[in-house]
Amino acid sequence: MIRADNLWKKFGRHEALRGLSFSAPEGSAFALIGANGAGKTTTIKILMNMLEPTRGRAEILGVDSRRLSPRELEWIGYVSENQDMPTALTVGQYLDYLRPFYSRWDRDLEASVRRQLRLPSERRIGDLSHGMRMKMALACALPFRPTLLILDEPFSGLDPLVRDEFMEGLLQQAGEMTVLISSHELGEIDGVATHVAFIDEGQLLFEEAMSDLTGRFREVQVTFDRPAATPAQAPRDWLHVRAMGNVLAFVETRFTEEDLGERVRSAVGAVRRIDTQPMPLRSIFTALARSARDAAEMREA
Amino acid sequence: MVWHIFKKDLGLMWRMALAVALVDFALAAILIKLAHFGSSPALRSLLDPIRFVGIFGTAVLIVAAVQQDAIPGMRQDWLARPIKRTDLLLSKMLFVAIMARGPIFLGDLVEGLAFGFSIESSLAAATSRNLWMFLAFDLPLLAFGTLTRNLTEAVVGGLAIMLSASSVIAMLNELYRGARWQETLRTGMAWVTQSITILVVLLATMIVLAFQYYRRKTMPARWTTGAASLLFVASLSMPWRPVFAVQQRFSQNPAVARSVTLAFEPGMGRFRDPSGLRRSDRNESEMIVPLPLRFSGLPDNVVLKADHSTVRLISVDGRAEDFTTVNDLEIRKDGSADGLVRDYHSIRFVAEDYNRIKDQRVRIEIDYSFTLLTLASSHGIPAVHGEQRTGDLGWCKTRFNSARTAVQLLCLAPGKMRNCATAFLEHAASGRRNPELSNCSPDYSPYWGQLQMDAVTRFGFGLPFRDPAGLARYPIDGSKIGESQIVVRLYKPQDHFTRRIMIPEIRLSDWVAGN
Repeated sequence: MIRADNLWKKFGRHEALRGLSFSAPEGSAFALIGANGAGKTTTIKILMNMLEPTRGRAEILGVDSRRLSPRELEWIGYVSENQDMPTALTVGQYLDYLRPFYSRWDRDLEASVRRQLRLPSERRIGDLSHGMRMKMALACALPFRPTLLILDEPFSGLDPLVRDEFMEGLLQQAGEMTVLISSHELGEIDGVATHVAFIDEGQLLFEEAMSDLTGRFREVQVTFDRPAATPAQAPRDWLHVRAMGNVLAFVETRFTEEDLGERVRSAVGAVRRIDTQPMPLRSIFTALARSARDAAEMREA
Repeated sequence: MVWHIFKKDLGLMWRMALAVALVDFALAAILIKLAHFGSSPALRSLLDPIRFVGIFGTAVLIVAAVQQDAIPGMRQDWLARPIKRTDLLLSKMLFVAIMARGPIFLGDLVEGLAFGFSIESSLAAATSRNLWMFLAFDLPLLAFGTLTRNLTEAVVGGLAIMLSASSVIAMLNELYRGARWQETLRTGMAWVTQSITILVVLLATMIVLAFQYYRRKTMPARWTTGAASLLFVASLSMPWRPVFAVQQRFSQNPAVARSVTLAFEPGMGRFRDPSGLRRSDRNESEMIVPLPLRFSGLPDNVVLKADHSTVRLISVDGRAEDFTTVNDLEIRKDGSADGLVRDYHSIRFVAEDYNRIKDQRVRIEIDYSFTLLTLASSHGIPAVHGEQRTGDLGWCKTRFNSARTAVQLLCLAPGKMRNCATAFLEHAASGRRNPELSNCSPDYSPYWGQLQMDAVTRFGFGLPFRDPAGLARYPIDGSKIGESQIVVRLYKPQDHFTRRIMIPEIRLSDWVAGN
C-alpha cells in the first residue's frame, strides 16, 4: 500500500531524511513516530507528492509518488495540521466544492460525519478554531470512503474533548481502510496502530508490528541482596540502565519469558528477584528516544 | 471541472472583480463623454488615474485569482485533492478572460457603439485589442501569479522585476546615448520588435505555466522569469537591418519605388527659413545640420518617409564615425509638383559630437531606409463645425481652438487607424490653400489590430490660420475660414527600400542654417 525506499531529502545543507525505508501493509494502521523534526511530515509530504525526494523513491497505492495523479488521489484521504483550506469559504461551501471531484462521495456519510464532528455549516473556515479545522479536514477526507487515509500530526494542539471526537469520527469510519498516522501523541496511537515505525533524525530505527513491539519491550527491576551497581558492560539490548539501592532497573528490548532470568544472571550474577512490567508505547518511545539521543551525544563526544 | 473551479473562485472574488469592472466601466464612460472635444477639465484629469487604477486592479485581480489555489508551497489543500492540473489552469484562464478581460471588452464594445460605429467594427476593434491584451498582459501576469503565494509576494516580486528591468534599460540608454538603443521602436516597424518581445513573453509564460502547473517547480520557473525579463529588455534593442529586412518582405508594391533616386544638391545652398527668421537650432544638447537633397523619380501623390538613416562621417585620414537617426525626413509630392523634389534633411547631432567635428573636412555617406506611401483617399470636411463619417477616417469633427487661431480636426475610429495623413485648409471658391501639415507616424504592421490603450483610436490636426504675433500671414485667414474646408489625405505604405548617397568633402559648419 505504501512503500518508502531509501528516501533522502535535503533542504539546503540540512538532511531531513537519510535513507528512510519502510512499508505499510494494506489494511494496517501504520504509525510513524518520532520526536519533533525527526522527518515524519517530510516523509508524508513526499508520499503525497507535495515534495520531491532528493534521492530514493516512494510508492503509494502502487504508484511512484512523483506520478500521483487525480486517479490515485480519489482514493486517498489526507488530514494534516499544516493544511491550508480556503478561509473565505464556509464549511458547507467547501464541502459542496469538493464533492464533485470524488466519484464515490457519499452524501449520507458526509452528513453523518458532519453531525458527529459537530461542524457548523455556515461558519467560515477562517473563523474556525484549530481543533475545528482539524475536524473539518477529517470531514473532508472521509465521505469518499478512501482506501488510504494519511493523518499528519492530527492531534497536535487539540484539547482532550476534541481529540476524543476526532478519534471517534475516525474509528467509526476506519473499516478496511489503511491508515498512515504520524504523531508524537503516543497515547492516542497506542490503542489504534497495528504497525509502528520509529524515525530519528531522518533515519528509521525500527519498524514492526505493534504486538511484536509491545511484546519485546519490558520494564525490568532486578532486586539484589546487596546494593545494586550498574554493570560496566550492560547487554546492548538493555536501555536506560540505572541502579537505585538494591534495585537495578532497565528496559529490556528483547524480552522473552523463558530466557530473561538466565540473561540477567549472566550479566549481573546472583539476584534475589526479577520483576517485569509491560510498557505502553509512550514509555517505549521515551526509552528509545533517550537512548538515541545518548548515542548521538557519545558519537559527538 | 473547469467551470466548477471557476465558480468557486467567482464566489470568493466577486467583490474584487466587481470593483475592478466598475473602474473599467467608469473609464469607458469618461471616454464616451469626452468623445471628440469633451472639454470638462475634471473628467480629463480623471482619465489617467482611472486608467492606472483599472490596469493595476486588473493585475491584482489576475494574481489574486491564481493565488486562490497557489502553486508554491506544500500546505495548500488542493494538492491533496483529485483536481486535474489542466482543469485548474484552464479555470484560471477562464476567470481572467471573463472576469478581468470581460468588463474591459464590454466597455470597449459599448464605447464603439456609443460613437455610432457598426456592431461589426466595434466588435472587431474590441476583440482585437482585448485578444492582444490577453496574450501580452493577462497571461504573463497569470504566469507571474503562479510564482507567488500572496499579494505581498506578488507586489515585492513585481517591483523587483520592474526595478531590475528599469535599471538595465537606464544603463543601456546611458551606454548608447539614445542612438541605436530601441531605434526600431520609434518607427512604423516597431511591430517587428514588439512581435519578438511578445513572443519572448509568451514563450516564457508557457514555460512558467508548464513548470508550475505540471511540475510545481517554482525555482526553475522563477529563474525562467528572470531570464525572460532580461531577454525582453534585450529584444527591445533589435538592430535595424534585420527588422527592415522583415518589413521589406511585407512591401505591398515593391516595384513602385524602383525609379526613386536622390542626390546631394549643394546648389540649394544653406537652409534658410522661409519666414526669414533666424531659427534657434542650437540648444544645449543638440545641433541640427540641414543637408540639401534632390529627389527624382517619385510618383505623384506620395509621401516618402525616411524611417531610419545612418550617417557616416569619413575624415580625410579615413576614420569613420556613424550617427543614427530615425523619422527625421519626410518628403511629400502631390500631383501638381514637377518631377523633382528638393528638400533638406535636418540631421541632429549631439552638441558634443558636433563641436568636435564641425570644422573638419569630412565625406558623408548616408544609408537611408525609406518607406514610400501613396495616396489612399482624400476627404474634405467643413473647417467650422464640420462633422463627417467615412470608412477610413472614422467619425471626424472640426472646431476652433480656444484662441480662435487654428481649426482643430479630431477623428475617432474603431480599431487600428491609418495614421499617416496630411491636412490643409482650402478655400473652395478661390482654390487657395494654407500650408500642408503632416501627421505621419505610421504603423506598418500586417496584423489585424494592434496592442493599444483604447479600442477607439483618436487622430487629428490643429491647422493654424492666424498668427497671434502677426508675423505670419496665411492665404486663408479668419475672414475666409467659414467658407473653407479641411482636406485630409490618407496615405498607405507601398514599398520599403534603401538608398545610399555619397557627399564629397564638406564641413558641417558650412551647412548649419543661415538667416
